[in-house]
Amino acid sequence: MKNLLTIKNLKTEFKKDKSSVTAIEGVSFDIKEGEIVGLVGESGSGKSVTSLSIMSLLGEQGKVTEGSVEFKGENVLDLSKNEIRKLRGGKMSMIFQDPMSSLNPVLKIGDQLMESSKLHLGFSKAKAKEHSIKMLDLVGIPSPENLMTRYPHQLSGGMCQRIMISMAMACNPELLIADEPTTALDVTIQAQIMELILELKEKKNMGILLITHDLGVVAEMCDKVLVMYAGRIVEKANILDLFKSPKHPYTKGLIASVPKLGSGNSELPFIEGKVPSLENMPKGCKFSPRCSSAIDICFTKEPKLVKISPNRECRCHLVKEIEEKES
Amino acid sequence: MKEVILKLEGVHKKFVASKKSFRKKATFVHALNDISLEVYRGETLAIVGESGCGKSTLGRVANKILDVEEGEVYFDGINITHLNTKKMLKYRKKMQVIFQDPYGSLNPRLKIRDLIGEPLLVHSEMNKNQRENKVKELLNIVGLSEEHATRYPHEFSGGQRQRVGIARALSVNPSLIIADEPISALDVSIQAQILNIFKELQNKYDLTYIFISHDLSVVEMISDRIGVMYLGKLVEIADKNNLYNNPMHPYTKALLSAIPVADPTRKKKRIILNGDIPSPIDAPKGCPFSTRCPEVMDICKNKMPELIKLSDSHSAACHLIKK
Repeated sequence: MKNLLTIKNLKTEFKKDKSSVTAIEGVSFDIKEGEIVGLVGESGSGKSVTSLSIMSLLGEQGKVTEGSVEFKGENVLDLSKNEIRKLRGGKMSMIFQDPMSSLNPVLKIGDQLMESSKLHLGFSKAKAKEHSIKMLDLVGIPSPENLMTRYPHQLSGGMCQRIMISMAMACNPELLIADEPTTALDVTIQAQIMELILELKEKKNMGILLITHDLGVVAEMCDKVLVMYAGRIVEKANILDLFKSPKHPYTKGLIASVPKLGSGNSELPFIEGKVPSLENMPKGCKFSPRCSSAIDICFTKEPKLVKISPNRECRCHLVKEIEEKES
Repeated sequence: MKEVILKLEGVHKKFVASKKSFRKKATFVHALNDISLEVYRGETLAIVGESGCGKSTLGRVANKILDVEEGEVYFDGINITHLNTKKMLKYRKKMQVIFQDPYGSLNPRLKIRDLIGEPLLVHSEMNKNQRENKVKELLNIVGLSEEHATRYPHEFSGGQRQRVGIARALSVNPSLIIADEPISALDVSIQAQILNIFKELQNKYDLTYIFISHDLSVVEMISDRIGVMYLGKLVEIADKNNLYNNPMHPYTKALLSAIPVADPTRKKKRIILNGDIPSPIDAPKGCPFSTRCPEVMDICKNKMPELIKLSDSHSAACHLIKK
């Protein structure tokens, strides 16, 4: 399978007063066709900034200062505003976190849905309407014709998220970025939406970047996982390896702190402290103040992301020792 | 014999959804529909359900923040349903609430010292010095330090604010704490910290919790008994083992199977429900779950099933159970 998206050494900064803060640094990964890559981390770890950098949606304050985003061999960051606009919503599309506030409340669902196919596929109004109804049908909405004339406030959260998905799917994207697509939804609805995304992936062979903080969702959907902390990728692994033998102390803590069904009344292990803010990044390893196994070097020198086996990378000074201990 | 601390008997609560004109009949949201349950001293009763099922309303009715339309609420054996605000004060001190949103529930203009001291001002006769000492003591109990007392809420992270919320609730030595989704706004690693505090405090002060949540995997760790709600009805209530290992109601089964499990090797068959939760304004006749239930029968669509006692610690409301 060939690489759909290749990200190399991405660094994004945000202007703040007269200086600037670095939100993400040294982010590299790739997504192949038909692959779901999970991006996990706590709030403030830079997950959403990564996705917005890929889509060039950072706004006035943010800027990618280093690295490249190659989509099918072309660096997206070099494209002009018009060229990127053609790509966005067409070949690359995105599902946003909050379905209720991502839809325009004063436009009918139909008008919002038809916009992208008119723009990207050059459809006439009648054809766009037909196409949109087909898309709504695809995401499992009953009587899609009626829905076209409704407004977002008349629909439930699950319905709105389906509409967001059908909107993202309208132009047959090759890459889909889903930013916390199920976080705002109830569990039974979440199960429906997850099933739907998996089904659509099978049908269209898309590459998907799934951003979430829920390790349960990751375990059920993804092929590969990237764990982010304080703007850096700290671990990269296949889904099975990650849950079987997490290498980075942060990943270990994260997996341990998820309550598991059937674990009973036992006390949950947790990670002390909280994610550092962008202005007060610790020196050395960004996780060192919260890490229980930190040694002297962790506080002075930032570790590099090292390859430990063909499909695994980890950013920790202790990785060699951990490897030795386990083997 | 287990001592009952809070008892709801046939409680109904309706909210007016819309009243367009004088002549037209108003439509109602039936947020609580004939709820009866008992909470025992020293236990944790979790109330679980999806958004709009009435679980928060249940918490509010129990604390008399909201008045009930029908039915009775007993606290410590005393009927508090019709007490006025002044008489209620005495009991309210004994049952405190911790709210969901740690960002919205603390007044941004008050210092932490004043926020935690506020319940003491209302409910106790402590002077300023005594209050300040108590605040310091409380800060230590919830794992914050004394210098935090002079800061404002915006200087704190979500987890720290929720600790402030807990300290506030604890300040008047309550016997019952109603926690309304206290950890759902927090990150996973912080959730674990707060859950551990809840457990620790329960042992230390012999507290009773009503723990309202939408997340069955969180609830398992903290609760003794669990009640499952759907569209204003209590559909199943059981002790923890029974509910997780032997769920009787089809909705509980679906809810349990929908939880994503953080273990990629475990491939289970999931019950995917069709459709959305119906709007509570025109809730379906008969069993509220009948529109999405995979095992629906004719009777379900017309007749509301009663809560049937299966054993001492397990009840469920479903027509399938009689068979």
